[in-house]
Amino acid sequence: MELETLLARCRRGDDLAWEALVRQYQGRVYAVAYHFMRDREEARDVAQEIFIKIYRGLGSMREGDRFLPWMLRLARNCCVDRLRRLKVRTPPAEVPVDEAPQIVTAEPSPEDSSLAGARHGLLYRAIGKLGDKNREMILLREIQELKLQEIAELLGLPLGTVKSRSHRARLELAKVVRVLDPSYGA
Amino acid sequence: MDCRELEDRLEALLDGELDEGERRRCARHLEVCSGCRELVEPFEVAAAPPGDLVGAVLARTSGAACGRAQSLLCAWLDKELLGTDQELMAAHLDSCAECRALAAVVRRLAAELPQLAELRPDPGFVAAVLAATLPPSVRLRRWWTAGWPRWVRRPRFASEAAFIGTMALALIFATPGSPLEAVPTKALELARTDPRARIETPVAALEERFTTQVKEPLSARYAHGEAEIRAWAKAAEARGRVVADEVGSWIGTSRGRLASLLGSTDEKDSGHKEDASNPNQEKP
Repeated sequence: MELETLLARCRRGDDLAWEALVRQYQGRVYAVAYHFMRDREEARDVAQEIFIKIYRGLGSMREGDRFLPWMLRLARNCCVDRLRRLKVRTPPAEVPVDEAPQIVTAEPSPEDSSLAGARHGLLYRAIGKLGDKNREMILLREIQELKLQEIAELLGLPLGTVKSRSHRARLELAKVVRVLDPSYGA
Repeated sequence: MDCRELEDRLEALLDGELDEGERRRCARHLEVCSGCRELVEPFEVAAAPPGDLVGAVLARTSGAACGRAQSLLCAWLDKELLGTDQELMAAHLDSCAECRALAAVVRRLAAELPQLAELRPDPGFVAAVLAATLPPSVRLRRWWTAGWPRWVRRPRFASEAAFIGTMALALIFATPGSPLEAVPTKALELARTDPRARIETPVAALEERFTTQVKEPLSARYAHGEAEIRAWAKAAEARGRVVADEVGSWIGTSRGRLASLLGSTDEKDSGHKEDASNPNQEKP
């Protein structure tokens, strides 16, 4: 079903449509929450809060708004509020390779799963070592693949600033990855 | 050819870019001009520059170009650089292993990072979200249609049901003060008595109960009711007679009046007719 149709049904109170929407976006929302919270339990709680806000706010989406950037803005604000409430700067957690969260993939083989898990664990460790701004830029641009204009609107920054931040974040991440694993990219 | 002409052609001569004619002219001049020969002699010994010469020169002049290259690296990978910048970057990456490795990492990250866009939460996540968002009536309906069969099919359900049933029976029949406390004892007594007695005694008791509680009161009521009906019928009959008498008397009276009315009318008519036929009759 097309997303616009699904959203229209959700706004009309169609419970099945809402459940379908939750199932379709649970992976993304949880990924954003985990990216900020760096803890599975916290990420789960925050992801639920995000969905509740989505549920209540669907009617307030402006005409022509793309759902993903709107959702990510809402998710980001929710995570930032939660972190502020916790009143601790969550240090970039060291994620052991075997405890990396499970990625949503299509029928990976066991070998692929273990390799992918190791690779993704490395990426999470590297992302965890970035500063807040760079980490956020990596999340929005590289992971969630938002357009630069959408990120600029989301963060309230000029387009040029977003572009240069994006480049800096990618470069910094690449340097961190090379330090953690010099064979990465070879 | 003079010295100035040779100097103009010197670089091309050293790079081997002159045609045959020009080269011969230069060679003839070099044979006779010692000054120009001194210029050319150092280059006649083919020697490759040291490998780190460029780096050494840059270190003593502008500094390594890697900083500038890395600042343009992402734009170069995204094909956003214009002609000259693109060429300069390509040339730098050809000669700089570090920047080349970094470019490979950035390229690979661009391919792998989107895989982190979706993470799988635990299996109960969707149910928890729906429980927090859907109205209570909908949640109850969903639980009943989807949750109840699943709940009943659990392996532990049988033992849980047996436990609850046992506890319920114990509470109902074994708790002191319960209204059904005596039921098990009575049941045992019944089980121990003769089956025929169990049947006959209740039948006799039922018959007695029927007689005392149903038949006799009904009979008494019926008898009383019969007397009442007879009395009412008599009273109705007597009343009917009275009414009939009154109606008869009224009819008689009415008939008499009607007759008298009709009679007086006839006399008047006949009187008028005689008057009409006898003009000499005195009028009242």
